[in-house]
Amino acid sequence: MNALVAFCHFCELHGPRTLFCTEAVHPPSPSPPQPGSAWMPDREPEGERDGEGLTMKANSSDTHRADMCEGCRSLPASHPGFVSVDSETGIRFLSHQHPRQPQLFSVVRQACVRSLSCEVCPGREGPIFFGDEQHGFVFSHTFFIKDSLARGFQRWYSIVIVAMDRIYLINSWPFLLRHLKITIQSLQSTALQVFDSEQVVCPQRAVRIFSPAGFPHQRNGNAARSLTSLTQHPNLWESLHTSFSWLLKACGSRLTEKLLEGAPTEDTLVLIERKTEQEEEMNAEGGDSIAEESQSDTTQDRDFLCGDDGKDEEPLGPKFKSLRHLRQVLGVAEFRQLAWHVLMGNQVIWRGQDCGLIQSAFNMLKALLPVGCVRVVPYSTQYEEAYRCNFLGLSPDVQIPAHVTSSEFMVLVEVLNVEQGRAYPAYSDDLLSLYQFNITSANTQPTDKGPTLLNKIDLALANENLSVDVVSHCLLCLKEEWMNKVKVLFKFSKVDGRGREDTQKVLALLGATGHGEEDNVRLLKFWMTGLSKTYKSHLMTAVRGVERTLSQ
Amino acid sequence: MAPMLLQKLFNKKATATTGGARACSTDAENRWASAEFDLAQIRLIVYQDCERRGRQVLFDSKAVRKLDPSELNVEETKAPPTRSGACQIGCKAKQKETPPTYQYSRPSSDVNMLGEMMFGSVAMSYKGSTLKIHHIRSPPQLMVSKVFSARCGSSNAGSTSTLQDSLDSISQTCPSHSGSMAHSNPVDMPGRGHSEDSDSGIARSASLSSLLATPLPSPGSSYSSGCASSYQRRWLRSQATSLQHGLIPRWSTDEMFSLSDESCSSNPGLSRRKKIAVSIIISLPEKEEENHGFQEFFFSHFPLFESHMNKLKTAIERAMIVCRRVAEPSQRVQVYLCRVMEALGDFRMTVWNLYMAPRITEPIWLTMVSQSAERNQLCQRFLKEMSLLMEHGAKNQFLSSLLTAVLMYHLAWVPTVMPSNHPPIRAVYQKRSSHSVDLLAKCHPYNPLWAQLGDLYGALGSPVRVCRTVVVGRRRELVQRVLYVLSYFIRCSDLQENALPQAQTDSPANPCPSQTTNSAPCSERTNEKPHVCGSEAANSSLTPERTSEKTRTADADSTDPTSSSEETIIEAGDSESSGSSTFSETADDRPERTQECSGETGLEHVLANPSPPVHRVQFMIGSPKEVVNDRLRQDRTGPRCGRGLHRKMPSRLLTDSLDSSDEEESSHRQTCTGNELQQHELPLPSCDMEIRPDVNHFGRSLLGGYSPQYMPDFVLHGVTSDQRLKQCLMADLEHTVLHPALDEPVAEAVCIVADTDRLCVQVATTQRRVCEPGQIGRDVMVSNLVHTLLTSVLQLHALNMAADFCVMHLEDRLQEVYFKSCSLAEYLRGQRRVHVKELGLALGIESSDLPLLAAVASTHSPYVAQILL
Repeated sequence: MNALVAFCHFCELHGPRTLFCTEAVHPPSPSPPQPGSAWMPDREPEGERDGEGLTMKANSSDTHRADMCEGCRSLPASHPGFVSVDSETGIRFLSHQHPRQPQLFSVVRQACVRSLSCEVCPGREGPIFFGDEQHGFVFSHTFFIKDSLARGFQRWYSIVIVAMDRIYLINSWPFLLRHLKITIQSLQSTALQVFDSEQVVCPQRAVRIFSPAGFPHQRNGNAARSLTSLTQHPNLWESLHTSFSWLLKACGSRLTEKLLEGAPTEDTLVLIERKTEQEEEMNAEGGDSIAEESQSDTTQDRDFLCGDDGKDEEPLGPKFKSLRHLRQVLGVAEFRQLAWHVLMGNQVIWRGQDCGLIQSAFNMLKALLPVGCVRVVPYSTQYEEAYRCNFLGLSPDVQIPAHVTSSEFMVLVEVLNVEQGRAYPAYSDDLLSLYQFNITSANTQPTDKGPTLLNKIDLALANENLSVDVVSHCLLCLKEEWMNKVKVLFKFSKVDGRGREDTQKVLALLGATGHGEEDNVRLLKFWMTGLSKTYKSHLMTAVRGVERTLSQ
Repeated sequence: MAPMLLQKLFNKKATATTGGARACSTDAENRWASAEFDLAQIRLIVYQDCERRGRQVLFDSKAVRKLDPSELNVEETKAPPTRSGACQIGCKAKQKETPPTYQYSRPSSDVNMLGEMMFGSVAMSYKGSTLKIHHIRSPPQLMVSKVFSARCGSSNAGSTSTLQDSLDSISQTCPSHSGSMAHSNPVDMPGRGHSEDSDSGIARSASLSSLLATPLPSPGSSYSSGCASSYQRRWLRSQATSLQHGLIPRWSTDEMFSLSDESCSSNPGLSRRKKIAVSIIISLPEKEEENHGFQEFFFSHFPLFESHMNKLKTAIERAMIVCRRVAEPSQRVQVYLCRVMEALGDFRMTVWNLYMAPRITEPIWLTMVSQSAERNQLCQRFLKEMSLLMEHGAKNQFLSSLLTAVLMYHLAWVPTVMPSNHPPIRAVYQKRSSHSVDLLAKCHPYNPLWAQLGDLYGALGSPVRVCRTVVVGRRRELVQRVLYVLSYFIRCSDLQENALPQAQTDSPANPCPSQTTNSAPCSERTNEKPHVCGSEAANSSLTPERTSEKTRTADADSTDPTSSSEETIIEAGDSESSGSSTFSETADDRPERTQECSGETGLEHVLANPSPPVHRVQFMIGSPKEVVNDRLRQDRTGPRCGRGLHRKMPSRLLTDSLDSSDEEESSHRQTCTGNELQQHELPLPSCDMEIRPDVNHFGRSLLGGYSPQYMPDFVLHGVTSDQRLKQCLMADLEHTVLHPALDEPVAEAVCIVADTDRLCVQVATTQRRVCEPGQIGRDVMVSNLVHTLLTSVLQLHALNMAADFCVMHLEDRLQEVYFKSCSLAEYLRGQRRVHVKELGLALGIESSDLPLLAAVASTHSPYVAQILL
C-alpha cells in the first residue's frame, strides 16, 4: 500500500515523539530528482532538529539531543534499521526511527503530534481518521501500555498509518483496525505481564505513597523506559517491523481486481501457434518470413498495423514501401487484379532477378490477408506447389509447370529489368525506370466486382488524403470485420453443419451478399483456412456442450 | 415464461435456492438489505469554533423536534426514533404545502465531547477543510466530520451573530457550550516548505492531467497489450497518490464554509479565526453482525457518503444565508431549521437508499467474470431478454439508441475488447484477466475500489466524463429487462478479497505471538509460502514456485562475490574486506543484535542506508569492480517487478540514477538482485490468504434494481416515474462535477434516461444544456454500427446459433468498434478539420457513428477530444 506506519509515543518528558517508522519503497522509485535527498545519511543531530524540532513552539529549542530519553527511542542511534523485500513485487519495506525520505519526515511528525496531542478520541484509546490534502491523511489508533514506573502506571502511544490516498485509507479502515487491534492488544497484554511481575517484586503504589519525591520526573536515568523494557521483548522492534511490513503489504493486496482484456485477434493467435510450433521443432531452417514474423512480441502488433515487416531490415535496393506504392507502380487495374488473386487465395508468383524487391512486394501484399492465410516462399530456384505457398518468388530462369501456368488459380508477375548501363543502380524512387512488370493469369473471372473488402481497400488507397498509417488501420478494420464473418460462417457450416438455405441467410445477415457476392463467399472460404487452431478446436469442443443445452 | 424468468433474476429468494456460488453472493446482498437501517440513526451536528465566542452548537438534529400541527399542544414526550424516521419520508410530499414547524430544544449532553472531537483539543492553523472520522464505542457510533474555515462577508460581519443570537434565544434554557472550553493558541503545524503555492502549481497540473486531453508519456502509449487505457489510468493513480513524491495535494484545499453571499477577500484575517464543523453521526446497529456489515459497507462506500455530506454542507450554508434575511427572530429560526431539516432529510434518504435499495442480483458481466461455469445459461438468458427487448422497441429503435448511449458513456467495455497479446487461458472463456494490470496492482498499489468506481461511471475517456443510467417505466418487468440487459454492457472489474482465513487465530500483525516462543517470535510465520492472489496469478511469470526455487538455490550457494551472478556484499566499514565477509558474520559483530530470530541468515537485518560512518553496510550490485559505481544508486535499486513492466515505465519518471541507456541490462540486474537480497534481510511474513468474493464493491452495490425512488448514486437503476428525477437531476449532475465521488476532477456529468413507457432515450448533461422544454435531455442519435451489431447478433440467435457463440460474436463486433475508433484516431492525428464525408467513404465511418467512435477513441487517444469535442 502507498502508505507508511509509524509508532508514536507521548513522552512524559518530551511530548509526542515518533519512535519507529516503516515505509514501503516501490520498485522503479520514480521520485522527482532531488540531489542527495533520497540518500539521506542518518545524521542523528540534524535529523533530530528537522523532525523533533517541529513540535509545539514551547518545546522548540536546540537542546533536543539531550532531550532524547529511553522512552523516545526505538533503535539505538547506531542501529542500521531493518529491511524486508517482497520478492514478488520488489517493494522494499524499511524501518527506522524516522522515515528515510526527507519529504516524509515532517509528514510523520505532524501525524504523530496530531494523533497524540490534538485529536480527541473518546476514552483516549481508539481509532481516528484525520487529515487534509496538505498534510496527508492519517489513520491513528491510540492506546495505553502499562508501566509500573510511569505516572498513572501507564504510557500513551499511538500507531499511525499515513497515506496520500484518502479514499483508499478510509476504505481500509476495517482491515487496519482489525489488525492494529491485534498488534496493540498483544503489546498491552505482554506489558501487563511485565507490569504484574514487577508489582509483585516491588509494589510501586506503596513506594509512591510513602515517598512522593520519587515521582518519575525526579528519578534519574531510567525515568522513561523504552517499550522494549516495558514488554521485556528483546526483539520488539524487529517484530514490529515484520508486523508493519506485513500490514502494508496485506493492506495493499487486500482487494484484487479481476480485469478482463479482449480476446487476442486471430492474427495474434496464429503467430503464437507458429512460434510454439517452431520452438517445438527447434528447426533453424525456417529462417524466412515465418521466422521473421515471429520475432519479439512487441513488434508483432505494430507489424500487423503497418503491414510492412520489411521496414526493419532496410538494405539498399529498390523496394515497395506500401500498398499504395505498389498500386502506383503496377497501375490501378493491374494492382486490383493482383490483389484480387491474393484475396481469393490463388497462388501469386513473382519471378525476377531482384529478390529484395520481390520480398518487399510480398510483405505489402500479405498485409491484405490474415496471418493464418499467408504462406510465403520468398525466393526459390524451383517451383513450389500451391498448397505449400500462396506467395512464391522465383529466380528468372525457373520454369513453371504447364498445369500451373494454365491454371486460373494462379497469377504470375514477371519482373523484367529495364536495360540500363548499370546492373545495380543507386537507389531510385522510380521503380518503373528500373523494372517492367507483366502480370498474367489464366483466370477468366472478372476481378472488378468484388470482393467488398477489396472495393473498400481500393477506395482507401485511392484517397491520397489518407496517410499510409490510416490506410493500414483501415485495412486492419476491414480484415477484422471479415474475419468475424469468417468465424460465423465456420461455426455455421463446418461446426454445426447447417444446410445451404440457412447458410444463405447467414451470408445475408453478415452483409456478404449482393454485389460481389461470389467473390465474398470465395474470400470467406479461403480465409477460413487461416483460422487459428485454438479457435477452431474451441468451437469444436464447445459445440457438444452447447447442443446439449439447446436440446433441453 | 419470460416474466417468470425475470422475476427469478430479481428475486433473491428464488435465486438463493439454486445453490452453489450464486447463493453465496445472494446472501451477501441479503445482508445489506436485511440489516435494519433507520433514518433516525443519522444525526447532524453543525458546530462553530470561534476565537472570540468559543464553541457553539449551530444545529443538532437530536435537539430538533417536529411539531405536528394537529398535536401542537401535546406533551413533549420524545417520539420514538423509528417514527420520526418514517415521518421524514412521509412528509416529503406535504412539505411544499405547509412547512412543518420545528422546536429546537437543548442539545444533548454529549455535544461538548463531540465538539472536542470535531475541532481537536488544540486548534489548527490550517486553512483548508479537514476530514475526520471517529469511532465512538458506546453507544456504538461513527462520526464523520468536515471542518471548514468560515468565510463571512465583510459588510455584514456583525450579522453572522444574529443567527447565533436567534439560536441562543431558542435554547436559552440550556447553558452555553461556549465558555467552558479552554482554548490554547493555534499550533503552527509543520507544513511543507512550498505548501502555499503548491495549491495552484504542481498539484493542479497533476490532477488536471486526467481532465485535460494531454497526451501523457505513460506506459499506455508504448503498451500494445489490451487494457492499455485501464492500465494507464491505474498507473497514474498509483503515482498521484504515492508517498514517494512527497505530499502533493491533488485538490484545491481552499473549500470554505460561506456564512454570507459575498466573498470575504477584503477581510481574510477574520475568517481565519472561525471554523465550522459539519458532522454526521451514525448510530451503529447493536447486533455485532449487522454492525460489522454496516461498517464494511460504510467504509467501502465512503466516497459516496462524503459526496452527499458536501451537498448537505452546501444546503446548510444556504440555510444560514437565507434565514438571515428574515427579520423576525422566531421566523428566522423556523426558516433555518426547516431548511436544514429538509437537507438532512434528503441526506438520510439518500443514505438509506444507498444501503437498502434493491440490486440486480446477477449483473451479467460481473457474473460471467466471476463464475465461468454458468456461462452458457447466462448467455442464453441474456440473448433471450435482449431479443424480447429488441422486438418490443423495434419501431423506435429503443434498444439501439439506448445501447448507443450506454456504449458511448459507460466506456469500461473498451478495455475488455482491446485485443490482448496473450493466448486465452481457458479456451472457453476467450478472454483473460489482464496480466499487466495484475502486476501493476502488486508493484504500485492503487485503490481497486476507486478503479472500479471509475469503470462503472465510465470515467475512462478524456476529458473525464462520468455517467449513470436511469431506466424509467411503469412496467416493472420491462424495466427490469432493460436493467438486466444493460448489466452486460456496463462493465467493471470484479473485486476479490484476500483475507486471513477465519480459522486462523494468529496474525502476522501480532508482534508477540506467544510468550513462550518469545525468543523466536517469527520463526513459524516467516517461511515463504506462495501468496495466492488470484487463480490466474499462478500462471504469471512471477510464480511463487519460481521465486522460492531461486531462493533455495541462492541459499545453497556460498556467497562468492566473484561468481557471475550479482552478489550482496557487506562492507563493514573498518577491517573486513568487502569481498570475503558474509553477512551473518558482520551482523553477529554488531553489539545491538542481542539475539537472532532463529539463526537463519534469512532473518538478518540489513542496513539499507549508511548510518554512522563507522558502520556501513551496503548492497553491492554487480561484480566487485562495479561496486564503487553502484554504491550511489544502491538506494533505488530494489528488485524490479519484472522486465516487462519496467520497460514500460516512461523515462520521465525513471530515476536518473539508473542507467537508462541499457534497460535490458538493468532490468536483468534488478531481477537477479531481488533474489540475492532475500538472503540477508528480515523475511516478510507470509501466510496463506483466503480468496473471497468481495461483496461490498461497487459492481455489486451500484447496479440497482427497480426502485420506487430515483437515486443519485446508482450507476444503473430503474424507477417508476421520472417526477423526482426531473426535479433533482440537473442539481445532482452539477453536484457530481463539483464534488465527484470519484475523487478526481470531472469535466462533465451525464445521465442517460431511458423511458420504457415512451420508448425514448435521452441524455442529460452538465454541458450543452439546451434541450426542448419539458425534456430531461437531448435525444440520442442511433449509431448505425450499434444497430447492425445488435441486429446481426440477434439474428444469429434467431438462427439457433449457440448462445455462447452469439455472445462471442457480440464481443468480436464490439472489438470492431474499437478498431474503427483506432482508425478514426489515426485519421484525426493528421487533421485539423474533419471531413465527415471522407470518413464515410474512406473509413466506413458514418456520421451517426462519429460520437460513439470519438468517445471510444478518447480512451486511447486523448487528442481526439481536442479535435472533435
